[in-house]
This record gives sequence, C-alpha cells and structure tokens, in this order.
Amino acid sequence: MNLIDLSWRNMKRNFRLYTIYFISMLVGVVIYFTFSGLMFNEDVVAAIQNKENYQTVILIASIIVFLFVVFFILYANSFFMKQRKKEFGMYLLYGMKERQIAAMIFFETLFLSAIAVSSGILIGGLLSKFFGAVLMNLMRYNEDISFSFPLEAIALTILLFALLIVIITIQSYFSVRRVQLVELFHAKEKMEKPIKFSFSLALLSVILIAASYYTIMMASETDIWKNQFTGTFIATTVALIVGTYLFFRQFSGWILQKMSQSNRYFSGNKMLWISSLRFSIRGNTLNFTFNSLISAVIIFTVGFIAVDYAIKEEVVKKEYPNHLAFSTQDEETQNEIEQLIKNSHAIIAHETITGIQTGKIQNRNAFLTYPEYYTEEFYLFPESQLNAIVDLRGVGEKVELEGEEAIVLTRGIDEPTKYKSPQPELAAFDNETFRIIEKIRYPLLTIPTNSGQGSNLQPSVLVISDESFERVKENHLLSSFEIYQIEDAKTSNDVSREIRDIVMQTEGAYYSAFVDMYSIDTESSSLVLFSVAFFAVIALFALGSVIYFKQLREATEEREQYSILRKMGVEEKEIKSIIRKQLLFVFLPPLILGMVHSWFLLYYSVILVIKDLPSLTTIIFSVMGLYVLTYLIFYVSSTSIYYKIISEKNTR
Amino acid sequence: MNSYSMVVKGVLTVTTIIQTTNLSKSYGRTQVLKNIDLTIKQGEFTAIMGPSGSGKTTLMNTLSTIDSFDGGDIWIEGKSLLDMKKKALRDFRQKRMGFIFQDYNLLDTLTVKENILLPLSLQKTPVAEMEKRLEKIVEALNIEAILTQYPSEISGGQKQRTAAARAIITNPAIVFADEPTGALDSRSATQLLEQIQLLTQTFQTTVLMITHDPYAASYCQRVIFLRDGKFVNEMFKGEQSEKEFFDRILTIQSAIGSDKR
Repeated sequence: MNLIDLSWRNMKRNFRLYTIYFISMLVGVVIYFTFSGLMFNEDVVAAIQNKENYQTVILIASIIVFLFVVFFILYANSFFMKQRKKEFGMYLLYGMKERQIAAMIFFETLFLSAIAVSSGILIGGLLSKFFGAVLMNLMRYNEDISFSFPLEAIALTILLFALLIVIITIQSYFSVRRVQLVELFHAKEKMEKPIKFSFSLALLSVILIAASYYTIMMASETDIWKNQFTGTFIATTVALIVGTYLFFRQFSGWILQKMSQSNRYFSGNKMLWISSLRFSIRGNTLNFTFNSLISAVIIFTVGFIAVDYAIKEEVVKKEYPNHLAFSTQDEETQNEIEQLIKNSHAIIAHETITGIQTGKIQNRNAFLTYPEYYTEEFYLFPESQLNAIVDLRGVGEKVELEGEEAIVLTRGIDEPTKYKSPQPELAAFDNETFRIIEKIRYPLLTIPTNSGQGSNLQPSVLVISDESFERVKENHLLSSFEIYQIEDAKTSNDVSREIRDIVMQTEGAYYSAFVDMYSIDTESSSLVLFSVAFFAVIALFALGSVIYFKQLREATEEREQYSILRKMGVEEKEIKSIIRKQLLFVFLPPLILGMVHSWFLLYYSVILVIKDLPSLTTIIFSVMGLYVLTYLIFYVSSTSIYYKIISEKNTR
Repeated sequence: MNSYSMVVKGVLTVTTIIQTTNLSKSYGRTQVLKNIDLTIKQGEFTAIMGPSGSGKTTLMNTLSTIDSFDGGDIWIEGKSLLDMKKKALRDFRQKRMGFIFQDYNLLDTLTVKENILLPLSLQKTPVAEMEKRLEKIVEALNIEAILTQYPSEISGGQKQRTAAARAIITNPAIVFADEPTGALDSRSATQLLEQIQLLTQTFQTTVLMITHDPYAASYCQRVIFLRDGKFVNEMFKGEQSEKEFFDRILTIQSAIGSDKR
C-alpha cells in the first residue's frame, strides 16, 4: 500500500472531518476569488468614475482578504491535525517516517486544494456577478455586470493556494514531529474540578464594563475625549476588554456557582447543563471574550459605515442645492443647453440670477469662515433674488434689507451670526459702502465642480437691499447665472458633463452641478460600505467556524457522558433539551454583551451626533437584527450538529 | 396473569420480580438464548456465571428491556413485556430498574451527591424526598465523606459504591449489575460485595449480577451457570459461609469448563 492509497482510504473513512476541512478551503477560495474577480472585472471598472480610488481601495481590501484566507485555512488545518493526532501516532508506531507522513499530507492537501480551487473559482465567478451588481446598486449605477473569470484573478488564487500548500505541509511536518508516542498509551485527559470563582472579581468585571460605558457616555458632556483622546481611548478599550474577559471567567462562573447552590438545582435536567458549563468555563473564556468583542466591532463598524453611506446624500443635497448652475451663455448656446437638459431630464424650475461683480475686496477675511476657498471679488445680489431662490428650493429663510444693510453668505457656521453695532463695513466700490448686519450659511452659488478646468473658488456673495442694487448696478459689471432644478438629478451625470464642456469653453466661467459631487461621494462611500460589509461577512464566517470547530470538539469529548445518560434511560427529548440549554449559555451571553458594547459606541458616536436622518435607527436596528439572525442560525445548526455527534457510536 | 405471590412459612409474602418462560433469542442463525425459565424473587442476590459467549450479557439485556427477544415471554412485577409499548418500556426502565456497570459510568462533571441524585432529578422528585432517600443510602454504603467530591478525586471502589447508590436511589424493583467488581482491586471488591449484600438484606433490594469471578459469585444467595445459551446448573448458598460456597462454585465451574480471564 503506497502513500496515495493510504490517503485515499483516510478520506473515505473519515469523511466528515475531511468535508469540514474541504469546506473551509472552498470558502477561502470563493471569498478570495470573488474579491479579486471584482478587482479585474471589466464591466465594474468601466462603470467606476474614480478608477484610481477604486483600485487602491480594492487592492488594500484584497490584501486583507488574502491574509484572512491564509490565517483561516491554517487555523482549520491545525484543528484538522489535532483531530488526527492519534492516527499519525499509529503510523509512527508502525515505523513510518515523519517525512513520509508529511508527504502523505502534502498529497492530500494537493488533492483537496485542486478540487477546492477549481470549484471555488466557478462559484466565485458566479458570485462576483452578484457582488458586482450589489456594488453597482450601492453606487446607484445601472450597469449590467456579466459573468467573468479574469485570468489575473485565477492566477492570484492559484498562487495563494500554492503558498498555502507549502505552509500546510511544513506546519504538518512539525506537528507530526511533536507527536509523543507515549500519549497513545495514556487514557484521555481527566476532567478536574471546576475552577473557584471569586465574588470580588465578578464584581470587578461589572465595574470595569460600567466604567467604560460611563466614559463613552461622557463624550457628549465633557471634553475628556477631545483633550486626551489617546489616553481615554486606551483606558476605555483596556477596561472593556479586561471587563469582558472577567465577565465570562468570573461573573458567569459565579452566577453558575450560585445557581448550583440553590434548591431548584436538583429539579429536572438543570444539574446536568449547569455543571457541564461550570467545567467548560476554563476552556471557553477566551473564545467568549473574542466572540463578544468581534461582535461589538462588526456591529459598530457596519452600523457606522451604513449611516455614513446613508447620510452622504443628505450632506451633498445640503451642500449642493443647485442641480445645475452655470454662467449665463449667449442666447443661442443657452437654447442649446436647455434643449440638452430637456432631452434627458424634465426641468422642475429655472431661475436666472444677476449680480454685480466687484473688484478685489481687502477685508473679506473678516466675514468669510474659510476665505482662501472664496473668490477675492464679491458678487452683490439683491434680496429679492435670494428670496426667489429660497422659494425655488423650499429651503432657507427669506431676508429683508433696507438702505445700506447687507448680508454675507458663508459656509462653516451652524447658526446665523448677527453683528452688533458698530457693524463692520464693506467697501464694494469707491463710493459704495455696505453695513454687514449678519452672516448666514446659505449656498446660493455652490463650490464649482468644473473638474479642474478654471478656478475652484466659490463665488463670494453679498446680499444687498433691492434699492441699493438698483442704484449701484447702473455703472458696474454684471454677472448672470442660470440655476436649474431637474427631475431625478442623481442620474444626470452625462448631461452635466456635456453642459460643463460647453460652459467651460469661456475663460473664467462658473459651473457647479449636484450630480458631480454626488457621484464622487457615493462612489467612495459605496466602496467603503461594500468592503466593510464584505469583511463583516468574512469575520462572521470566521466566527461561525471557530464556534463550529469548538462545538465539534466538545461534542466529541462529551459523547461518553451522553451515552451514560442514555443507559440510565434518559429520553432523547430530554437530551435535546439539555443540549439546547447548554448551548444557549454558550451563544447568548457573548451576543448580548457584544450588542450592548456596540450599542453604547453607536449611540454616543452616531445616534446622538446625527440628528436629522430619519432612517438612522432603522439602519442600526437592521444591522443588529441581521446579526442576531446570523447568530440564531449558528445556534440552531450547532445544536443539531452537537446532537448528531453525541448520538453516534463511540468509535474510540 | 397479574401477580405472582406465594406464601412462605405462612407469614412472609415474597413477591416474584422476574419470571421468564421459554425465553429465546437469536442473532441471525445463531441462537444465543435457548428456552430459559428463570424466576427471581424480591430481595434475592443472584449471580449469573458463564464463559464468554455463553449469553450472559444477552440475557441481562433482554431482562432489562434494552434488547428484544424472539421467543417466550418475560414478566416483570407481573407485567408481560410483550404487552408493553416502547415508551412504557423506557418509563419502566427508568423508574423500576437500576444499573451498575463495570466502568462505573459516572458523569465527570457532577459531584458524588449530584451523580446519585441524578435519576431522581430527572424524574422531578421533590428535593426533601431526595434528601431523605439519600441519607439512608449514604449511610448504608458509607460514602458520606465523599459526597461533595468529583469522580476524578475518588477511588475505583468509591466510584462503584456511588454507582450502586445511584442504582438503588429510585427504589427499583431490580438492580442489574454487569461485572461490578471487574475493575476493582480485591479489597474494594470485597467491600462492595459486602455492601450489596447488606442492601439486599436491609432494603429488600433485588440484585441480578453478571460475573466471571467465582469470588464475587460466592457473595450471592444463588448462582446460575449459563453455557451456550442454556442453564446448565444452579446452586444455592443456603447456610454456607462465603469460603465454602466459593470452593463449591470453583468445583462446578471447572466441571462445566469456564474461560480463565
């Protein structure tokens, strides 16, 4: 019997163990290929406006995915090797060399990887169409994504697995060398007494967690987060981690200990699952801590990024209220442009505003919050035109001005600022001086979106009374701007580009469109949301498999205990109920603690800060809901696997 | 046929716990039990001896309802097993039978006390009742000192006494003991056998023990020899001492030929 023969027999005999290992590999390939497939998918790349940005984000993400897949498969392999320790010991006992066993593992891995890679690429190719469509949908493009198996992605995936096979063979060689033959002759490690729990440490865990919650709550009231960010951040994180660890090690142990001392402990099957949990605390604490912290991070990050994505549109709407705004053209061009717009989008409203252009104003720094982003010359608009735009948009407040009074429009302030007397003055022309009574935040003419052609400075705007305007306009240079509101402005990318090309032929012309900024912002935040969601799925999968492997091992160890119960005449129904209760204690506390952690983080960093997004709580609750659902699936499938394993005949 | 009672010396009513008539069982074409007629009365401590493959374990499994049989019938406490459904059988096994195994079968995660109380817990017995029963048994088996300890902390003899306590705490009609002394050293084995003897006397517990060991069998009131699925001999201890009974068992055993362990 040669080595390949031996491997083949192993696989047939130990089918479930190999299946689990194979599925881990397959998922690794699928994840990696899906991601690198997206990176090279021609349809996706064609649709993206900001290609460099896309490549960078995807590249970084695929490096993370790469590392994840490597670690994940190595973890699965180490689990696999541990389960087969006895088998390797037998081979060694019968005179096989370590190198031969390593060679056998190499053949097995090669065989499994070949199947995993080829089927994984197929599945990944199908999935990358789906994920490409999801990405396009998030970015709000209507691009069709075709199936694709980019050669680069296939090569990268094969490379990844070639690397993995080498590492696995080396890892296995060393783990085989560590096998102690003497272990074969020893009975299974005996369970000892459950560890003792201390009330004071249990209390400390609650205090630590409460203290870190309190510090997070302080974010809105005191300045400790602003003034000493690093210190506060480290202290809170450490307290949260240590608190969570102690919570599972001491607090839950202490609760179980208390439960075992109560009189009701002896009724029904309580005794069985409580005692079993008390024994497992020692081995499970790290796992639980890891689970709840990962849960907290996943929920927080996905919630945060989803809110960021949802709020982008609102922010752009606020900053770019003009769907299209540009310098007025001659009549012929103007008609041409209007026709262009009508051909693709219905016009809701159109307004032409005319202002008086001044020379350079020396003291503009006194009024504008970020003067370096504004033109040095001012545009003077009459109050009636500002009010007309307020009417048009349905946003903002109308103003009323008299005589020499004037209002400066600026960004970077939340509330209007009134000037007390003596009010500052602004000399627009040699003999025309205005009194500034107030500065308000109102983007009449927004930041240009002419993509680098011409100036990027936002026009400085001063609103003056209608009577002053009538008087001053006589002898001065006038500038007119066309402002359009159109239906479905989000899809006006193409028409915006065409109009921009026409308008920007004139030197120093002004052009600004909502959709330009909207596309760039949505694209980048979609990409971030997509990557984060992808990572969250991967992390969840990793979490799921860690739990799964753990259950598998524990169920195998407890098989004997359950066979004793069966011999005593305990019903299957009762056995199932014991497993359900025991696993509920394994799943529920880490989930709840993780949710509470992330709720505190989200509440004080997102919900309290962002007030005007109606869908905010819906987003956060759906993220949490999805998470709970995933966990529920883990729980239900774990109980059924557990039951299946303990129902099998003990093969030892 | 409802109840089997007979009057001995006119005063003491002794109940029949188990009666089999023509009990037979085959695995495929090999018949492992052949027309066995057996009656076991309350308070009896009976041993079934025989070489490997003689059908000892099969007999015990069929009597304890774990395994089925194909011929004859078994009556336990006057009820025919043929008339009972699967659920009723399981219920009966849980409430009316106790088991002691060679490898103790104690749960590692439970203390001695918890292990003993487990069958009562699962039957949802009131705690006061549990404590009452526990007290009596603990005294008889002399395991008071180890009640709060875990199985990994106690000796084999103590483990087997714990298992015995667990088997009789439900007040079963019969306790099946499968090689209970098999894994014990001779001192612990003697101690355990003496205690089982005591239990049968004080609690009127009925014990059916399977064993290879003539020494263990010498503590029983009655020894049945099984070979090739048939009863080949039966001995009563009567008024003899353990030593005398042991010598007689050895003689019979070598006469019918037994395997040496």
